[in-house]
Amino acid sequence: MLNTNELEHKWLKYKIKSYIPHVVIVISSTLIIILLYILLNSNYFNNMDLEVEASAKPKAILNVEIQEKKAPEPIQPVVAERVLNTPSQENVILEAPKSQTPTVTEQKLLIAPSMNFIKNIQHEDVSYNKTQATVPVVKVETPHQSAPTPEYIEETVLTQPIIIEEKRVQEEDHQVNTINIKRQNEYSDIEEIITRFKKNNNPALSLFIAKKYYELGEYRNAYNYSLITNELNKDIEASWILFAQSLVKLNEKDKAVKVLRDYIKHTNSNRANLLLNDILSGKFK
Amino acid sequence: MNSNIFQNSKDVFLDTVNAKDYIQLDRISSIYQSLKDSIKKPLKMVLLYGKPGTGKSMFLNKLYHDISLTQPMFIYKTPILDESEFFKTLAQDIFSVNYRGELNFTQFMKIVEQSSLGSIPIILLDEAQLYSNQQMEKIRLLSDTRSVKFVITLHKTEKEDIIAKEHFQTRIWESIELENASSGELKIYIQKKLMKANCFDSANMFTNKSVNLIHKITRGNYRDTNKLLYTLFDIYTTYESNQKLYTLKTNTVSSKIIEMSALHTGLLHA
Repeated sequence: MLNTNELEHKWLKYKIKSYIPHVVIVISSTLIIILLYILLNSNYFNNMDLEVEASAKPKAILNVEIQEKKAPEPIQPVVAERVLNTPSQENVILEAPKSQTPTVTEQKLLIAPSMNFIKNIQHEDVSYNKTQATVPVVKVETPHQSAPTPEYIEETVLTQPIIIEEKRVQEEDHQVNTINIKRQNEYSDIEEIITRFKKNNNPALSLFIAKKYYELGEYRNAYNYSLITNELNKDIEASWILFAQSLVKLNEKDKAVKVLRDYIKHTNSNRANLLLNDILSGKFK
Repeated sequence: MNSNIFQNSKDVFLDTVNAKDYIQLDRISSIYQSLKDSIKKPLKMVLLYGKPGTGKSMFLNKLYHDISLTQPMFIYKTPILDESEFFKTLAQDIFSVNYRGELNFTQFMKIVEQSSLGSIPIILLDEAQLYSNQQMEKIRLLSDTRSVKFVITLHKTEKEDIIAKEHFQTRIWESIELENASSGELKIYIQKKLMKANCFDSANMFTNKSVNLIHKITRGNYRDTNKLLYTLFDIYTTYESNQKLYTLKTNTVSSKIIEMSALHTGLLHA
């Protein structure tokens, strides 16, 4: 008589054992798939970050400008002009904003506004704290020079006093602010990129930092970051160029020449050749 | 289904070599026919080889069972390893010479030369790989006299292949290899074996799936299959006697019971 209980126990053990390889295969393949997914995604996002990096900077500045420009938008620049053919009437038509909600084209126009109106205002002899314009009839001119030909649709006699001086002061203030914000963003962006670079040691980021420092005239930092970039990846031409340029700016012309000559010897780079010639001829200082 | 059926089915797969239990399969039948034909030819030796459990002994028994009535045929299922004893047994069985004392090869050859038999006797030697090289050499010389014909079975291993090459390569005119059964052949083998014993219900329990699993475990080896199925029906009998048969499916052989049988017989390891 067979001991079926013992056999069943043995069979259960055997079954569990036989399923182990399957379970291991399933788990390991799942882990591999997950890891691959994560790796691919991280690469994708890294690439995306680099692409965004290049375009993020100007956008940020533009956004700030847009926001600043949006505030004074209701105040339209006015150009006063005498109208001869309507002496009896005193009327002014201020061109109203086309719509309250800014469209894409409107935003674009605000990004690069024409400063002509400021010049026009400056040329005018309008005294401060003047409550009423001496010339009653004015013609309104749109500041958007890039827009299709401005239309001087209506000419009417001005009935209300025009306050110009406040607008001009405001505009000037905004201009100054824009410049300040721009510089602050530049540094904060560099700091942000430095922290990102410390995390992933991506030579593209260090090159970007070096370029930015160079643009800002911080040649010591530009030199350092281009040196780091060269150490991470010896094949980036732009980094070697920037490195040499920074050296020249740091009064290390001889070193720059030596570096460029060595680099040209290895890579035969045209850009490096041109820069070397410029340095030697004194064109680049 | 009652326990009697399982008991009967179990007995069908007892590992015995009996010509009556021979199962006709298409491939086996054609091999058997070619063996019968080669015996009729003026051959000195016929070699039957294959892995253990492929049915060599059964073939030899079946051949003896079929031909011994019409032709002088002598079967030696176990090898006679003592040389003198071997020749004395042959002298007595074939030539009816009862020799007293030691009988060496030269003396036996004299008996062979002096004897006058109507037809050439056929000697069937099973498990020939157990004979010593010296003894095999003498069997070879004996077959050269054409006074006797040998049908020998060998296990197909590397060692036995060397024996076959050294002793019989130039003399064997017919060599037949027996192989393990395919899955389809195994199903026919199992069902025919059960139906021969009137166990129709148990024969119907074997589906393609269950036979495939049995084939996977036994690799189509007849001896291993017999061992496995004997244990399988033993398990069913035990479940029946323990009143636990309701826990099993009885219309088909469950994979669980096949695997349990394989574990018990050592064909699988937990």
